[in-house]
Amino acid sequence: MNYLNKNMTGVHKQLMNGDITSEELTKQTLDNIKKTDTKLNAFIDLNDSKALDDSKAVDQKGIDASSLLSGMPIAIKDNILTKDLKTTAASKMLSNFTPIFDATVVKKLAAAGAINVGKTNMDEFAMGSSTEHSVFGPTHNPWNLNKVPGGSSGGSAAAVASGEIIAALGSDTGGSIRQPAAFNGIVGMKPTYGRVSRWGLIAFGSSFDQIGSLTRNVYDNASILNVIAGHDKHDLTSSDKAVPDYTQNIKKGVKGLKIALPEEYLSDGTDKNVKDAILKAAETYKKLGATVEKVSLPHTKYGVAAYYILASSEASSNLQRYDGIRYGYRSKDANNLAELYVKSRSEGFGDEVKRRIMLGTFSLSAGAFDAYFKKAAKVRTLILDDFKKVFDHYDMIMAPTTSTPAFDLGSKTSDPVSMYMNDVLTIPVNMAGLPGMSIPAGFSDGMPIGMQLIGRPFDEGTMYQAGYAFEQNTDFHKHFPKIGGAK
Amino acid sequence: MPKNEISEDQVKHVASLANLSLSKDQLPYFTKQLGSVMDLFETLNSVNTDDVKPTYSITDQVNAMRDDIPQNWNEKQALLRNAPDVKDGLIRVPEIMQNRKNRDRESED
Amino acid sequence: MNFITTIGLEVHIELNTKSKIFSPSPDEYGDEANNNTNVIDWGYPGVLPTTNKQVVADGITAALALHSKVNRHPHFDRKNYFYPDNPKAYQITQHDIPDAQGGYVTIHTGGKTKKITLTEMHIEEDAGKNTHGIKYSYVDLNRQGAPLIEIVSDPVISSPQEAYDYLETLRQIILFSGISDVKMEEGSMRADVNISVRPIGQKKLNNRIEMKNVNSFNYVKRGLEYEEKRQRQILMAGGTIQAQTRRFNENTGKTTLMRTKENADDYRYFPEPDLPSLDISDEWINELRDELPEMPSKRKHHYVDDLGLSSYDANVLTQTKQMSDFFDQMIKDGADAKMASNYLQGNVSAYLNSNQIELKDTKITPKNLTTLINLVKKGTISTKMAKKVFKAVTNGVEPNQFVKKHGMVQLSDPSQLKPIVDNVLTSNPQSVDDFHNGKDRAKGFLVGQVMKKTRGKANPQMVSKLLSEALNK
Ligand SMILES: [Mg+2]
Ligand SMILES: [Zn+2]
Repeated sequence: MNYLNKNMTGVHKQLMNGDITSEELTKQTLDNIKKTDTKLNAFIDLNDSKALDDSKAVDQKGIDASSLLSGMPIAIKDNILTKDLKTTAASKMLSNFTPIFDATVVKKLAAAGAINVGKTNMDEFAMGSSTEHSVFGPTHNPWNLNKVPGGSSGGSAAAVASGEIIAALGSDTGGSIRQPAAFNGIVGMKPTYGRVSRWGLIAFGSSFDQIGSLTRNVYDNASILNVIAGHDKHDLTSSDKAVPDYTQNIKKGVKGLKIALPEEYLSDGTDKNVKDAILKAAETYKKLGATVEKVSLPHTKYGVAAYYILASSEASSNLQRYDGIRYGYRSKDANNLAELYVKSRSEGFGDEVKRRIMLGTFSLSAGAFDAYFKKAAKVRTLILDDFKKVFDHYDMIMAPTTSTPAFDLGSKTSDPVSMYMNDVLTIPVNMAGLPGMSIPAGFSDGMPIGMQLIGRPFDEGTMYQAGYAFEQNTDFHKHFPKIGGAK
Repeated sequence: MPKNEISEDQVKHVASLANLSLSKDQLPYFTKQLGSVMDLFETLNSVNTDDVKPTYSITDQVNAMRDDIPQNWNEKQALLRNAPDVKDGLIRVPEIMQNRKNRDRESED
Repeated sequence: MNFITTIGLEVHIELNTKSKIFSPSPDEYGDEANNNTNVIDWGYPGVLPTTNKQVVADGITAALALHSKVNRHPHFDRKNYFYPDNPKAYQITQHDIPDAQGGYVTIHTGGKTKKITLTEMHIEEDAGKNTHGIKYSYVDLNRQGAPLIEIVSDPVISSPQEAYDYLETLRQIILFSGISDVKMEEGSMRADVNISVRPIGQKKLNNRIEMKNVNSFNYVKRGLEYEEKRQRQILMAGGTIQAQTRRFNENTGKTTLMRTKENADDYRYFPEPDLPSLDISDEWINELRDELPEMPSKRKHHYVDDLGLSSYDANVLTQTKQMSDFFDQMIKDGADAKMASNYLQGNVSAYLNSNQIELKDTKITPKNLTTLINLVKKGTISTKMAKKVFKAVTNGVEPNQFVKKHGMVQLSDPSQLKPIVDNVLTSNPQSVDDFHNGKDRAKGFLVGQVMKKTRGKANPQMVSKLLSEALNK
C-alpha cells in the first residue's frame, strides 16, 4: 500500500465499506515501508506484530464511523514515548530504552483507533535541521535521495511524502515540523504552545517544544489535531482552552481575511524561486478575496541567536538526566561514579547534542547568565511584541517556511552556524509560542517549496481554513516524488 | 575568523560542568565551532533591551496546580527492570566515596 | 583578643503533605526502597512535574507564622548538579523569587528576648537517599520529591546557644502551624550552618565555614562550639580563616574539612519552564491566615495572664500543639485551669510515656478529662478513685457513667456520715482517750476506721471534720 494518491477521508471510506480491513491495510503498509525504506531510512523501528494485533482488534470491534483515524495506520516520531516499543530519540544514549508508559498523544491516537506502525527517524534528541544527526544514519529526501529531508522530524516528513504512511507525528522546537514539511512538499502544523500535551515527549527546549502532525493535505492535518489537542493534567503548561472542531469551518474560504506578509521574511537571504512562489501565493489569496499587505517584524533576524541560547540552555538541563544510572546507555568501563557520568554521556551523545549542551551550559554558567540567557529572554519579548502588533491588525501571517529548498546531504554538517540559520524563518514562531503551518507552495529545480502560515495563539482554525483554500486552488500537493530520482 | 573567540580552557570548563569529556582532537574542533556560534550570539548586543522584561515561558496557564491526593502508579518493578544495575530494589552505582570530587559532595537541598 | 561570632542558619523542614511536591507519589517515610516512586521521581524521559497545591499553601502558612512577606509571584527555578540521588540532575527550587521574604522568630535566650530576622524562605523538592557500601553505592528514590520548606535566617545569631534556642523556637512555631510534624528522628528538620568569627572591633566579616545537613539541634550546637573555638585559635595564632565546607563528626565532636570553596559549584539556575507562573491572591492568603493556629508565644501569654498558670506550666503545655489544643479545649469545656494543667503534666504525661504514644492516638478526650477533674473538684470522687476513673477515661469511657456503674460516688453527706462516726467513737474508747491525752495519731486511726466501714467511699476531709467536731465537744 502506497498513500501517494490518498487522503484519510478516502481510506476511511474504504475501511468503512469493507473494501479493505485494517489488518490488510496495516500489513500492506508495513510491507511497502520495508521496501521503500531501504532507500529512505525514514523509520528507526517498526511496530510489526503489535500493529497487526492492534489492527485486528479494531477490525473485530468494527471501524468507528465517527473517527477518521479508526483502523488507520500512522507513524510516530521516535522522541515520543510508546509503551513497550523502543523509543530512542535517535541517540545511542537511548538505543536500548523501552518506555513503560505512553505519551498522552499516543494514548489519544490509540483511543481514536489509529494503528502505530513504527517510529520515525530524526536528528538526535530533535537537535538538527537535516536528520543527519541520527545514530541510525541519515534519512534521504524522497524527491532527491542526495538531499536532506530537513529535520528534525525528517523521518516523519519523508515517510509521508514518499507515501509510506498517510500521516506521522512530529515535534517542533524551532521548525522541526514545518521545515521538513516544506522540504518534502507536504503539510506540517506546529500548534500553539500548550495546545498539545508534552507528557511523553522527550524534552529538548521545554518552553518551545510542541507536538504536531505531518500529513499529505490540510484536511487530514486538521483531523489529527482534533484528536491530539487538549488539556492534560500531566502537563501543567497545556492549555485548558476548549478544543474546537478544526474541520468544521475549513471550507469557508478566505474572503475578507486580512493577511500580513512580513518583509523580513523575503529578504535577500531568501532564494529567488522561494520568494516568487510566496508572492504568487499572495496573489492567489487576493484572488480568493483576502487582503495581503506587507508588514514588518523587525526583530526577526535576532531570532536565531536568541533561540540557540534559550533552547540550548533548556536542553543542557533537560539532557542532564541521561547519566547511565536509571535507564539508557551506561558505559561499560567506568571504574567510579565520576567516570560513569562522563563516559556514559560522552559515549552516548553525538556531536551536535554535545555542541548544544555546551552552548547551553555556557549560557547559564556563572557570569554568563545575564549577558546570554537573560538577554536572549528579553529579545524573545521583543519578538513576541512584534507579532502582537501585527496581529492587532491582521488575522494571519504568510511567509516562506524556509529561505531555500532542501540542501545536499553533508553540505552543512561541519558548519553549525549555517545549519542553524536554516531555521531563521521558523524559529520566531516558536519564540512567540504561535501556531505555524507549512503547506506546499511550489517547486524549485524539482524540489518542493513550503509556504508558512502563522496564526494568532490558538487560532489554528483560521490557518487550516486558509491552508485548505490555497490547496484547493493550487495543485502543488498533487505532485509526487519518484523515489530514487528527480521528478 | 571568529571575533569572540572562546578559549579551549573555557570549553573544557563548560564540558566538565556538563560531565562531558573531549578528546585532544575534539577540543580544538569544538572550540572553533562554539566560537563561531558565540559570534552569532554576540549579534544580540546590538539590540536595545533596556526596560524589556524577559520572557521565560509562554503558556497561557496561571496557577495550574494539582490537589494533594497521593497515587501510587505501581511502576517500581518496571522502573527497576529498565535500570542498568540494581540490587535488592535499589539502583546500584559505583561507589560514590571512592572518587575524591564526589566524596566531598553531599546531597544538596 | 575578644571575638564576635556570627551565625546564620538555613533550615530544611519536610512538610507533612500526602503526596510529593511535583509528583502524586505518596509522601511517606520508611517504606520499602523505591516503593513510593514513579517515572517522575525517576526523572524519566518525557515526564513533567505537577505542583502540589498544598505545598504552596504550606509555604504561605509558614510565611504567615514567621511574619514574612508573601511574594505574589513566586516562581520555581532549576538548580543543576549531578548526583545519584538527584535523578533529573536538577532540583526544582525557588531561587530568584522565593515564596516569602523577611520575617522573624522571637527567641528567649540567656534571660533575654531577641528577634532573629529571616532573609527568605522557599519551597523545593528533597533528593533521594544514597547508601554507601563496599565498591558500590545504592540509590533509593522514595524521598525524591518530598516537599521541603527552607527557612534562611539572617546572619544575626551570635552564639551556639542562641542557634540552639532559635532552632527550638522555630521547631515549635512550625509544629503549631501544622505544616510539618518535625520528626527529628526521620530527618524532617535539618540545618545548614554558617559561622564566621572575627575580633571585636573588626568591621568586616571573616570568611565563613559551612556545615551541611546537621540533623540534631545538639549537633548544631556542638559543631558550632567546636568551630567557634577552632576559628578563635586560628585567629589568635595570627592565621586567617579559609572559606570551607566542613562536616561535623558526631563521634569525635569535631569538624573536618569536606572541601574548600574555591572550586565552588556553578548551579546554573534558571526559571523552570515546565511550570506555569503563580499569582497568589489576597483571598488565598487571607483564607490561610484565618486557618493559622495561634502560635505558642501567644498561647503562653494567655495561659499566664488570663488563666493564672505559672510560666513553667505554660511552657510545658505549649511544647506541642496537640497538648496545647487539648488544654484549650478542656478550658472551653469548663475545666479548672490549674487542675487541667496538673492533670496533663501528671497522669496524662505519665500515661503517654509509659505507653510510648501520642495524645492524638489515645482515647482520652478533653470532654472526659474535664468531667473527671470536675468530679474530683466537687468532691464527688476521691483522688484515689480518680485514678481508677482515669484508667477508664484512657479506654474511652465516660466518667459519670463509670462512677455510677461502679458505685464510686464518694460519701460526703454529713447526715449519712455522722452515725458512722459516732459508732466508731463508741466502739473505740481507748483511741478517744489517747486523743484527749494528746496522741494526735489516734485521730488518724479513727479516720481509718470510718473509711474501713464505708469501704473507702467516705470523703476523708468530711470524716476528719466530723471527727474533730465530735472529739472537741
Ligand atoms: Mg535552596
Ligand atoms: Zn534547600
